[in-house]
Amino acid sequence: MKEIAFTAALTDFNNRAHTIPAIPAYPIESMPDRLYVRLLRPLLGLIVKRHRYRGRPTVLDPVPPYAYGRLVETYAGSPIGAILARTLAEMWASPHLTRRCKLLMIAVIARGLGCEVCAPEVSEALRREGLKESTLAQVLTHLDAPELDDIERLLVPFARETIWYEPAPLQRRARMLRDRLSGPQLLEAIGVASLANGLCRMGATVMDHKI
Amino acid sequence: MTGPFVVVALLVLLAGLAVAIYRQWRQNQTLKAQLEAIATDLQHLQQSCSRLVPAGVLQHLIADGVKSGIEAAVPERKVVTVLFADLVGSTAMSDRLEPAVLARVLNGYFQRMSDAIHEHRGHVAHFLGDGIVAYFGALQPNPWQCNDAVRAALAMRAAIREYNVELGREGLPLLALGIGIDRGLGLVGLVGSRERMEYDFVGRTVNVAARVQTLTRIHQADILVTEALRAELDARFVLTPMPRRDA
Repeated sequence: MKEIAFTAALTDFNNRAHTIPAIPAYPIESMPDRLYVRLLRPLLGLIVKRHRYRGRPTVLDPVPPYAYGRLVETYAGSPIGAILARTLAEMWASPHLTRRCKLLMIAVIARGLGCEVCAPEVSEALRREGLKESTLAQVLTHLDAPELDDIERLLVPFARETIWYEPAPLQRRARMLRDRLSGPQLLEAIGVASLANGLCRMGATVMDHKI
Repeated sequence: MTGPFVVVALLVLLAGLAVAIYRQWRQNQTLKAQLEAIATDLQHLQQSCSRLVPAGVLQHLIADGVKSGIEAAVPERKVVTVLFADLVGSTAMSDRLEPAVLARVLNGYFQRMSDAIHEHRGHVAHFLGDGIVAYFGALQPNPWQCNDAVRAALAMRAAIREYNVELGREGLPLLALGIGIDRGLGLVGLVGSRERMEYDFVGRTVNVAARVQTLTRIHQADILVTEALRAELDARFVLTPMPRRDA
């Protein structure tokens, strides 16, 4: 079940990560049918097999200290846990958006999906970042607050738009962001929103609560 | 004697293998073409259906696995925001204009209003004459549905102003809109008879929104919201309290 949830979350992540920046899907989807990929398939198979750890528990070290730590822990022992932990650690370490901004985006997506497991973790992390309870409540209720900086004010409503997969509005909002954020900031915002959507849904399945 | 026999046998085997591979390849190509044709047909069907019902409703119907009976999908209880919009003075306009011109004016109006509603995460449930019933939070959970509905109403107001400039240039009568918005609990899902069903919201809120819309004429305001909705709204919306009246 956990593996199925991870695969579904990965699809969810990929859908958004490709759709928001309007990357054409056909060249990627048709890649397995191309001659050079078919010729390289045995070699690719060998490379993939080298990274399989069937039957061997994978050490989970360290558990990410921020939101989704509990979700990662449920995958302890599986290679998925280690990959999730590394992905999250890299997301938090990336410097183009502040940690508070990323947490606010995740909080909005968790609220939109009614994710009761992720929400307390995210709230706690935001408190540690110095955000007042009342400000968080206002952001979650109205997607804005006077205490937000300019980038947060742009990305909080954008995070909300990514919750339901509707390509046209998603791309329209992304185009509006393009002129107001730097390239790396926009890329990071797309990554955070895509990841949060996948993780919240995965949490809903794995940690037994309803979306 | 054995040498040539083996060579011939091998050649025959190779030829047989080549024929089998070729036939399999042809079969694969045919199946692939059929699959692509079916996918294209489905896409066209979905596009056609999305004109009759909103795309979100269609996804719900597919997800619910609706076949033919009412029992297939059980409605669920939800808090939904209802926006009810109606044209002011449309009867007089319909008497004055040629049917073809009237249809063009109305279609332009419906298109602009629908765009404003969709842009703010609502879906148009019904066109009632020249009225529009739209729901926010019926298809997907939406904790921001009240703000969305009011933003949609403001966008509709702006759209009708722009449309009036176009109509004025053509010497056509200008349109005026009344919008009522309420929020409340009700049943969402497929309702209707075996022969005809609709994905709808059933509850007092729909009637309240409709009655509030009629009050726009009395209060000389184009957008009116109920107290239940106001309580959930962002404080930055500037509202003017209206004297209490029974619709």
